[in-house]
Amino acid sequence: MLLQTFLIILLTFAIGMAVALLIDLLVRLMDSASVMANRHEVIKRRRKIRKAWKSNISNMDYLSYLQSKRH
Amino acid sequence: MKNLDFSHLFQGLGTLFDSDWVTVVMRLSLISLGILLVYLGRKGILEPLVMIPMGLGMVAINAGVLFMPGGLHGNLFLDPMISDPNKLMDAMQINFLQPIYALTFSNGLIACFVFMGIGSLLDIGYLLQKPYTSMFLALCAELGTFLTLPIAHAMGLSLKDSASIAMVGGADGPMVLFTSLWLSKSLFVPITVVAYLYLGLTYGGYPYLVKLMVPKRLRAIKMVRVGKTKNYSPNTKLSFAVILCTLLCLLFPVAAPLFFSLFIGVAVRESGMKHVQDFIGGPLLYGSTFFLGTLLGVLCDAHLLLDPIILKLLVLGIIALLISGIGGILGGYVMYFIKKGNFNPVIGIAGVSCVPTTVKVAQKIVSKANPESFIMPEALGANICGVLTTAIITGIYITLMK
Repeated sequence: MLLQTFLIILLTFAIGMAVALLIDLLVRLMDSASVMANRHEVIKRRRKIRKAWKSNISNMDYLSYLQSKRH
Repeated sequence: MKNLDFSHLFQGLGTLFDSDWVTVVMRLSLISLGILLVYLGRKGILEPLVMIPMGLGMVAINAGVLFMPGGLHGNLFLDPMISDPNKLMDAMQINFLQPIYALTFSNGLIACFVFMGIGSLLDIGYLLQKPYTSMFLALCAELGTFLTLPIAHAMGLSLKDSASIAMVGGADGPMVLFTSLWLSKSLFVPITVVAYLYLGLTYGGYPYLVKLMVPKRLRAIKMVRVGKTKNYSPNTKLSFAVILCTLLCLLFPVAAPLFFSLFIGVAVRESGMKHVQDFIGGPLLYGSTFFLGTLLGVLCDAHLLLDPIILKLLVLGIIALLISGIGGILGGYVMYFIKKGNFNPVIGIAGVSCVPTTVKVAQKIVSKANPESFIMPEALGANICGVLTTAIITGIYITLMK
């Protein structure tokens, strides 16, 4: 009976610590995934800004062209 | 009118006079105990949510005994021993609590409802912060669940009954109910009653154990937290709940209803379903706990508790909880040495998964010793892990012994 109890304790500890390990791995995975997602978001935002800036420049060009025509 | 028989007019008293002295003493003791539980619940010494309905149920079931056809004594609350479907259908139309008992209590549904509610209240972020420490403390606080098994077996209980009563060490009512339903159908009523009686006592009893084992100098330790405390996004917590639920259900299908109930509560909380969370963590949890308390009280019928095995269960229940508490504190000491003094050993008691009673107990004791010491996050992590470890042991016991 004592041996059985000891084996149950070992089994429970093994499963419990495996669960803790899984939690730790999951947390690390999520952390790195969120870092990557953030980096991707930054790149996307930069692209958007660059695009907007370019289009802004072209709009400005068009405006100056209109103004020059009016004069 | 000529033959006015007072024993038949006031049948509660009549059945008292008609019973043997052991039953009379038992009924009167249980009525007194019921009144005491209501009083202690009202005073806040015991958990009022369970103890007040339980105490009143105990009073009513032992006072409201009447003469049934055939000269037998009975009541109009419920009969837990009916197994024949036809008799059960008849009883459901007579005993007012029989439908709730048959359809929610004796199949473990009410335990799962309570678990869903607990899940919806748990913030597993605390567990994600320090998984190893929390899990280690929770495993140490299961010492009573492990050691009561051989003790109960040595006291003459069968292996299945021993496992059921050993679950009291996990200090998780729904788990005890679930395990005893699977393993000791004939004893599940007294085991569950004993478990809930003692769980009510943890709030009053554990502080003495902690004070006995941890000197004031150590109780007052204020932990220095290294690094920034991380806040985990709901997505992380939800992913954790889904993965862990899948894994644990794969490992222990017999305890899958419990795992599912716990993690569906967590999932509801983390997925932002506010109305459902309010329902599960409010009316469902409190309604289930109320009916659980009421049913437990009503099950404390003198005849049912006259079984001599009750005494053994009472002793084993207290042994299980005591050893678990000691194990938790010893785990706290181990962490104290590993972390070179930067850990309050009182946190170990929170590994006993009586959510959230043991956390409150731990914080209260620490605050008394040092009002500036705040151990709640670590204690909650250990407490949540305690729920998981108790569920794992439930799965192991049921799988190995059914």
